[in-house]
Amino acid sequence: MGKPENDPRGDLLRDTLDMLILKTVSRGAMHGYAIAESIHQATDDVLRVEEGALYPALHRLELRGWLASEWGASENNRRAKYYRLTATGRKQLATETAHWSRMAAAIARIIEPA
Amino acid sequence: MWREWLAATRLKLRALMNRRKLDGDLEEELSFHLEMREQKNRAAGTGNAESRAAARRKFGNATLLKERCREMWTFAPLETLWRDARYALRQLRRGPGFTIVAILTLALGIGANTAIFSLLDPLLVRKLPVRDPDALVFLGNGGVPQSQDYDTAVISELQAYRHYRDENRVFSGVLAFTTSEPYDVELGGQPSSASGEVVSANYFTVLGLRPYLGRFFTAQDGGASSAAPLAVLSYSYWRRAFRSNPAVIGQAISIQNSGWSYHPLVNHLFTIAGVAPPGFFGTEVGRESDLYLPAPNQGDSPPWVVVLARLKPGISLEHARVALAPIYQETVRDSTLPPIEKKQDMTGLVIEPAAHGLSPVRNKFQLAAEISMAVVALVLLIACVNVSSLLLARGISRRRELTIRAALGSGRWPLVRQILVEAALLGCAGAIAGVLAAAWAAKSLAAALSTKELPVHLDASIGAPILAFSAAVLIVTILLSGLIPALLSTRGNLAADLKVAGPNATSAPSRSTTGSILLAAQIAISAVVLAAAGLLLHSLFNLETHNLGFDADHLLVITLTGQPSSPAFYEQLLDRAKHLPGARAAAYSALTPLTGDGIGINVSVEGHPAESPAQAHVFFNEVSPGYLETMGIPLLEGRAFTPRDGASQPPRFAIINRTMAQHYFGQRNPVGQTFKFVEGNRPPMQIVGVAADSAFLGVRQKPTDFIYLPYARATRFRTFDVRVSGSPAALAPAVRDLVHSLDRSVTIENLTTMRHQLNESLHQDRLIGTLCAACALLALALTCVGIYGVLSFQVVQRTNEIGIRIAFGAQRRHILSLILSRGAAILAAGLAVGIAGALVATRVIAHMLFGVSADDPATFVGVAALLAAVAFAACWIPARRASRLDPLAALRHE
Repeated sequence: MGKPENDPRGDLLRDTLDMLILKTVSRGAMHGYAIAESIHQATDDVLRVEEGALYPALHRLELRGWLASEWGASENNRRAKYYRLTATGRKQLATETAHWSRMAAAIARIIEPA
Repeated sequence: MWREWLAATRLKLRALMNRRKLDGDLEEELSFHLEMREQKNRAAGTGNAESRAAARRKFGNATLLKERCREMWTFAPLETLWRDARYALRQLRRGPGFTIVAILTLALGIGANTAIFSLLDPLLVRKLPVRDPDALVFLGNGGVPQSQDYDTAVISELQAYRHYRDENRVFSGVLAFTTSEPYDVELGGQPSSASGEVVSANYFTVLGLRPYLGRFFTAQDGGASSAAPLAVLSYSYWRRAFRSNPAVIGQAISIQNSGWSYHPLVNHLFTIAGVAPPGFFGTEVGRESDLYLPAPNQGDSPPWVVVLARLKPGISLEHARVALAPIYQETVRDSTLPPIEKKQDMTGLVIEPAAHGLSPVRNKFQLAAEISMAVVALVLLIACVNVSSLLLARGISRRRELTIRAALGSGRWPLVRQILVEAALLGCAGAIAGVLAAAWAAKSLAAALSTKELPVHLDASIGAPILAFSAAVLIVTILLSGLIPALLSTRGNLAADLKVAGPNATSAPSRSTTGSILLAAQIAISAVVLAAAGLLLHSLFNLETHNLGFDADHLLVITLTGQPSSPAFYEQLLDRAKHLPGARAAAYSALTPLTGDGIGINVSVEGHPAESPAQAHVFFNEVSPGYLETMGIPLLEGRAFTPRDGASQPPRFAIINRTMAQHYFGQRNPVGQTFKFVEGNRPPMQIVGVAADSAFLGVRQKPTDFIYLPYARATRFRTFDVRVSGSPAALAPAVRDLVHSLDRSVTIENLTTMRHQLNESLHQDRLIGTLCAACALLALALTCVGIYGVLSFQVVQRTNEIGIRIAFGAQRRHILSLILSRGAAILAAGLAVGIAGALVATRVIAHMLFGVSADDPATFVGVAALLAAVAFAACWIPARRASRLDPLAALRHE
């Protein structure tokens, strides 16, 4: 049973997911379900984040200090875990966004017919 | 990067504190998500149950998800290790017999190594407890070492020290000291003894020490010749004799020469200036000075010193050697040694690193220590191999369990790790037990090294470097014991084995081959240890029974010290002693044999020019008439001394020994011939008799030229020998009373029997012999247990096969021979390798052996026979058990 973490393609996907989560949370603290829904809606149903990928990513980001969590009341008065961006997280987001733009531009130059 | 790791670790630690909260939170977080999705579905219009089911489906495997998230919050490697350890503990508890045997085995191995190292470390490894010991060097003369015990290369004349001190440009300080000697000290009116060194005024400064209490003496303080000389106490002496009383500073203390000091003290009233720091014992490893006395500023005392210097930073040893060469020439020029001795002793400047101090103790014990280390390392190896085969056997019987784990998805590494963790637990338990035992034994071990002649003071306490060594030994032990079983038990197609019936059956080739190889290895290593022990014990026996040339039994040896109030004391003592009940003869001598003390002098004989200084050298002893008779040394030619011989001053008559007679006079009768002393311009000596050769410096010494001189009246006697019929120890109190009653100011420094003195001179040989014998016994016991264990196990494994054989008509004796022949094959293989290895290994100790060669056939045959006997005994029980199997039960056995 190969774990997704060992798959090199999974690395790229994982990093991208991290960036998306950080960006989503940068607008305000959210719980896990809200983050998934937000990405789903913002990309017009193109990107759908499965729980199997979302929660490991959230916990990993929290352990790395880019997200901070606290328990609060959700919109329907249930207990939910909210994640917010930390200062280091904000810095990381900026780095990753810049990196991603560079990557996208480079790839675009190749894909576009000369 | 670091900060991230730190933050993550902090979070993980918090999670560690409250596992349940972590689990609860994860559960709640995921179920919240599930509910939200369910809600969404319901809002889209599907029914309740349908929504829930749909939500669940989309959610996927909740348990797996929770596991993955949870894993992130744990210290994964630590947790697995902890799990493995708990499991291993359970397994070990299930087989207590095996566990105890394994732990004891390893404890013995690790403990023995730790104990020996705790002696080796202060002796060989540790540097002097001074500031920057690596910058210190010894200065001395090259030359022929006079005594095996002492490193005479580093002894210099006082004038040489002054030259080095005043004229050098490469040292930041040059100090001188004498070797530690006993002094008579009066404390609170009570006479006692303390060891002391006479040192130059800059001793403590050059060494870079600070006083623990008070201060040290300096060049400004007058030295020993001043009106109120200062003295410094060692820390342990201050604790012992003054009970750590800080008020001793400024107190007066009376210190006087005992009979045996080379350095006469001018004054005897010293003032205590301070206490040296704890842990400082001088610069001689293995000795401890209680007192440090300042040398006189002027004059020729002390005549012989050891010179120690501190190199300036940046100056190398070689640079110093070159820079000192011209100064050395000056010391040769100013030397007051007679020319022949100068040529012999001052062959060139010796400059050596002094970080490890001076040590006659080290010189004496170094080889013994290294051999001991090697032997206990071999014993540890046997112990590891033993535990390894035990673990291997258990690995085979747990095969079913291992295969199930493999089938459940465990990779090979977790299984290997499991067995290594078991080995680690055993090793740690063994190490703790072993180190504790070693710590308890360390003091008595260090004390066992001491003899009256050479008391040894070593700090053998178990400190950090020794524990580090034990930890290293532990790791090696775990690897040696655990790797083979771990790798072998998990080899092969584990899943295929599940299909084969029975918990012990394997589809892989029989593991018993490895077990047999390990066993053969144990036998081989034991053979080496036994051979070494056998040779050393044989050598010891030879040493103890060697013909010394005199009669060592029934001889009481008394060493006297102190100035008698009347010169008639000695004659009175001799006379009265001869008449004590049980005494047969009595005599005086300046020195007593077998203490390693000897004085030499050079002679020349008419018509025999000496080719080399060594040839002209003879040892001598000054003796009273009746000495030869008292010692039991046969007189071969001529006559013994009479009282008149000693009357002439200087003495004109001598008795030589047979070696010297043959050397200079061949077959001719030397009685009546003369010889001269090379130095001193004395009249020729006439030979009046020839005595048989007898051992003098030590048992191992080959016969060498020796002369006896008659006792001159004025000389102070040292040793008083009494021949006794019956037990000499019984006469001791009578002799003691006799000396006391005759003169109070003469005291007995030492009272012992010659047999005891002989034993003390063989002290090191006995220590090594004892240690090797103990290790040999240990090796034998371990091997015996190993053979028994492995063969028993193999019998159990082959029960089925044996049952079949019996069912097909095999007799008991066939089964017996089946098992025994297996054992014999292993024994043969082990012995072959072992004896070959032993022949190579014993060459290292060849030069230590006395009267037996390193390839002595009798010893090796004995070793083989002993191992064979032990192996046979260990095989017998399993073989018998096999032959007694009930065939029906055996066939049913899986």
